[in-house]
Amino acid sequence: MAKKEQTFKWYVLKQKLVPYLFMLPNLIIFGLFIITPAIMGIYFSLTSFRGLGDTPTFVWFDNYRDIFTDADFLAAMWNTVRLVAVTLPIVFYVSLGLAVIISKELRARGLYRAIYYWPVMISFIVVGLIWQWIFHDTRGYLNGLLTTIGNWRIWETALFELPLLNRIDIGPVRTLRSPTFAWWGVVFLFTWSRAGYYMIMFVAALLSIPPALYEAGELDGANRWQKFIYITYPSLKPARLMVFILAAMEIFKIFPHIVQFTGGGPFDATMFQVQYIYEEAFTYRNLGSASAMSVVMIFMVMIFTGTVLLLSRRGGEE
Amino acid sequence: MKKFLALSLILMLGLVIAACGEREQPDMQMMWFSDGIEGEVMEDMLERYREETGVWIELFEIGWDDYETRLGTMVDGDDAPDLIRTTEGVMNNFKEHFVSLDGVYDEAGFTNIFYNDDNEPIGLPMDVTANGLYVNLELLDAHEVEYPVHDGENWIFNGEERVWTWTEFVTEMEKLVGAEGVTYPGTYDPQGHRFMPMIYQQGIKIWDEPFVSTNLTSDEAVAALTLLQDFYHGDLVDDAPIANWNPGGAPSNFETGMYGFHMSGNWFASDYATLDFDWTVAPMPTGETGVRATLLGGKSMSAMQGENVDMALDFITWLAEPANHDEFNNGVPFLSGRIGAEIDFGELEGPYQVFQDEINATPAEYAADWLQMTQVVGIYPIINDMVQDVADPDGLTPLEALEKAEQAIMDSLEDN
Repeated sequence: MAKKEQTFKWYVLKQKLVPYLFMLPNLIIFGLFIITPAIMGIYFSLTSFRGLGDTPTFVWFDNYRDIFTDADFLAAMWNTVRLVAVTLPIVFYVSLGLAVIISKELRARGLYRAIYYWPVMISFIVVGLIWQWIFHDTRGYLNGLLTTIGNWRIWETALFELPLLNRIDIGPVRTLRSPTFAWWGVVFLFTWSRAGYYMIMFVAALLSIPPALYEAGELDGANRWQKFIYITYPSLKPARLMVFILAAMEIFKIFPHIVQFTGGGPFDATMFQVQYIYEEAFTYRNLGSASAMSVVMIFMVMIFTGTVLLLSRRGGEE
Repeated sequence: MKKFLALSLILMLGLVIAACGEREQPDMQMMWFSDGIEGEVMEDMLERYREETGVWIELFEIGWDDYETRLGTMVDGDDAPDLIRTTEGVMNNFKEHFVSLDGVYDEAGFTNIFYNDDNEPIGLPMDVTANGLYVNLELLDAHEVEYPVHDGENWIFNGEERVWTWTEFVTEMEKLVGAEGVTYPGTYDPQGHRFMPMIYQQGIKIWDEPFVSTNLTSDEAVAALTLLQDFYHGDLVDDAPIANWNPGGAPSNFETGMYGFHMSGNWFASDYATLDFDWTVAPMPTGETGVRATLLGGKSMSAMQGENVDMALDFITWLAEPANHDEFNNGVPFLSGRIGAEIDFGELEGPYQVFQDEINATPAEYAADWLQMTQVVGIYPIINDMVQDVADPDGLTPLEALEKAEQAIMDSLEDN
């Protein structure tokens, strides 16, 4: 009887212990490489640490006070918020649209999937480099093409004597030197490089919608649009939430693309928070101040994510 | 299948054993950055040093953009290199980590020596650098742009024995605006360092009283920065390198052959030797006072605190020997930090004579003034911000940018 009891206790213990043992390796890695640096970051944010073997001296909240009077940091923060506000809906709906299109029975559907997913496999640095080659003001392919077309002036030939076209002066345009062009270039570059990734998430979610729902909809006389609005879109709620949060966090953290694409320019027009923090830490060697900026950024992302989760719960089951 | 598995296992085992095998380790490591071929020249010298002494020094290169960041990480990780190629900025930012070279070489035989707070040298001057103006002769001649020429004794401009002024420079270079085959009249390295001679050319020092007050908000400094701002806003200079902070952009521009001038320094001369158009170095213009000035700088060899200090100092002693020192500067070629060194510049003799002439024409008090300026912690980012602020069409006025820079210098002096 005692043996039986001991075996049962051991069984219960195993039931409780084993899951934690499986989680242990990941917890150790998470603790060492995520939690510890995060705590160190909070500690450094309260000091005047400059790196280079410097001993951190407590300045308490001075760094926080200073960064909120730093006009350049506030500009980078505002720029990041604007980027999230503009890019997030674009990436979200482009990836959803692509997912809906390639989930249909199309010829060479696999090829389309590969094409749309292909930019995801390119490293961020290379993405930045590719588009810099294309958009560079003086050596870029875009301006090279415009110059060639401008010199070509086919419409001035006898064959195309069109008065309207003759008035068009085609030539190089200001690309990465223009703050507006560069900023929207970042929006385009991010969308191009990441939409495929979120598309795959939507495709997985789309394929898991029971066909019976569509059959029921058809019986009720629903058209394509109504089926999308009343069946597809609500069924995608968990995927939508995940894509929304993941994409937002990724845009908040945007950095390697930009360093290669615009370098944060022209004149800081594409200077976002992470690059600013990086430069504060490693160019100006203010690791304390940079840590405070990172903490502020974490809070921003947490508030955003929390709000999204709260709103999604309030909405209840659609 | 079994055979395949057995073979795979043997292969993996072999790889693991090979990976665990002891690799021969160098005796010391040297951190390096290159603008041209100087890394290759140093590699050859290290090979010879190994043959002579049996000491193996491994050279590893880091791009200049990441140089100080990587060094900082290595110092923090207690993994600093034994030897390192340094600039004044690097020596200043890390000065407590360098070994004193007091007595290691004869200081009287060298120029441009950088000292730590205890007035001990912490670098062996290797090559001397000077800012200068590269011009594309083919483009300038094609568009009848006048520039000073040397008659063997003096610079002649407009029939007079003198160099040009900035006003005359602008008048001449404006001939290239919109001209055929010209992208922009000129291109300028984005670093604030390239602008600073313009302040001296106005006839003033930057320090009013060293480490106490500056002349940065004087009329002369404002005039100098206004000139630079006009270059950018008036389309005389391509603003892409500074707008997108791309230091490599300016030399790339010049290499296209579609820019009339490139404001930079002697370190690009060896790279430009292979260009397929005629170019030379022209003297930099002066302010209305007629004062000529360049910004002297240089690269040094320093030893860092660590386990191999004695070996590192032995190498520096060896490197300071005239024959070895000259081998490096002749190999590139570079202007030498060794007084009396005879360097064969080969086909670059003409351009280097101009750089040497710029150095000779620079008043000694300006050279000393700049050396003191390099001792301000974080001076380079401060002056970089300053020029970027005025190049920005929506940025600051020259006076505002100079006031901001002055404040940042004072803050740095107070903090450090």
